[in-house]
Amino acid sequence: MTEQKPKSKLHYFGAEEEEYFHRVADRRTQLLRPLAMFFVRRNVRSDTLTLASFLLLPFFFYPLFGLQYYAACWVILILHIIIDGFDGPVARLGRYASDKGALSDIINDITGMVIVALTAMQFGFAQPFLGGLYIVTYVYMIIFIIARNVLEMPFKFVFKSKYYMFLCLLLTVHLHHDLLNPFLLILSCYQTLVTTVGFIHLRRHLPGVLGAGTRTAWPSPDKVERRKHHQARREARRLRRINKQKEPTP
Amino acid sequence: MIWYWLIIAVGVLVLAALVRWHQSLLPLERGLIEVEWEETDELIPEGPDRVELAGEQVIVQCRDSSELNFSAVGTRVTPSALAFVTVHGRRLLVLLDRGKRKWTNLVDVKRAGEKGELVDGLVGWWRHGTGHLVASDGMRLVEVHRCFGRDRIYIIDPAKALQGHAFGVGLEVMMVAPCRQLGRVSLRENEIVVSAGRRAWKAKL
Repeated sequence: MTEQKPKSKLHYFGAEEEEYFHRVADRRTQLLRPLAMFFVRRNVRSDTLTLASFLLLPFFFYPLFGLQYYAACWVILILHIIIDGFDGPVARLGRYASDKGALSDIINDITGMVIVALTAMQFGFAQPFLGGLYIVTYVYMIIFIIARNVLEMPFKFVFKSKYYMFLCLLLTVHLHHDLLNPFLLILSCYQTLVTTVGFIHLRRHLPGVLGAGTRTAWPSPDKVERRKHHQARREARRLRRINKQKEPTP
Repeated sequence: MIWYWLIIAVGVLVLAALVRWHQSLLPLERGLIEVEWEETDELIPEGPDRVELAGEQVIVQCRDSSELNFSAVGTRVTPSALAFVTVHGRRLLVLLDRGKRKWTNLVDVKRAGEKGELVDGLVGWWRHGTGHLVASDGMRLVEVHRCFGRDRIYIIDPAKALQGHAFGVGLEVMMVAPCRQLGRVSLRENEIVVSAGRRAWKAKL
């Protein structure tokens, strides 16, 4: 009997993304193995890497942006992303991956986005209202995704826009076209929608009596049945189409 | 403008401090167990083999009363940083170097004694970083690491640690020391005894 690896529920991926995320994480661990082992052998822990990645943005990205050393800013931002990407492989190769590390990683990811958005607002690249709305809706969305993952009722798929926001800021700074503000507006609307759906589903799922356990299955049996029915119809349609293509033309 | 440079300067200082003390600030946490420390009058027993240090010369008096000695140039070793452990049927001397390299060396004493140098008998090593005490029950190894706040006690499978050249890989169980800084440590079958000054504690594993 093969032993199943324990998986952390502390992540902000949807159900369909999770499998893909674990596959990518394993592949990334293999790919980054030589450099990750360099850190493992020097006792550089994943928490240290997360903390280093966390410190880069408030202490270097923000002031360098203020000093208008944009090239250095992007280098720092890329460094932040790379170091953040290394903490997982280092923890897995050092065999000390844990929920504590996962929590630090989530906080680092969110704070990174918040600092970049605040920097963009501070130096006039993002409107304060749109920037604030984007930050708030993003944080709410992440809270609901994590809460639903912990309660084992994950979203199917959620689009996370953090890196696209970084890219929009870069393009806005260098192309002198305001791409960032429309992006912030559209994504704020999307995030509001996800948050609302998350809230409604979570509220429906939670019991009405204080302290009572959640009894309803997620997703509900009716919904599972409907999904299966749709899937079977789609499959039948696909098979019909294949058979039609195989039939010889007269 | 000056504020931005000040923030950068603070950032450089914080990063430098993190690089210098990262292991003490963020000790490795894996297999953390909470044990009940009981104060005891027991003395930590001497091992069957005696290891003496004369400068950089390590003198090992084995159980069969034979004596081996070899030089460990460039290392800084204390008597409480030496232990014997059996790995894959071979009896090896664990030598926790607190010098510049901060490695835990596993040495085949016979080979080192024959050739006279530590490196000649070196079977494997891993980087301990902040370790300062070592003990063994023959199979498992205990490393005590100095951390901010309180020492950490790690029980390591040396065979696994050797494979990865990293003590984190072989780490099986860790616990928090009963006092800030430990002076000695001993491991028996399912009991660990630690001491600091005149006080000693023991705990069941």
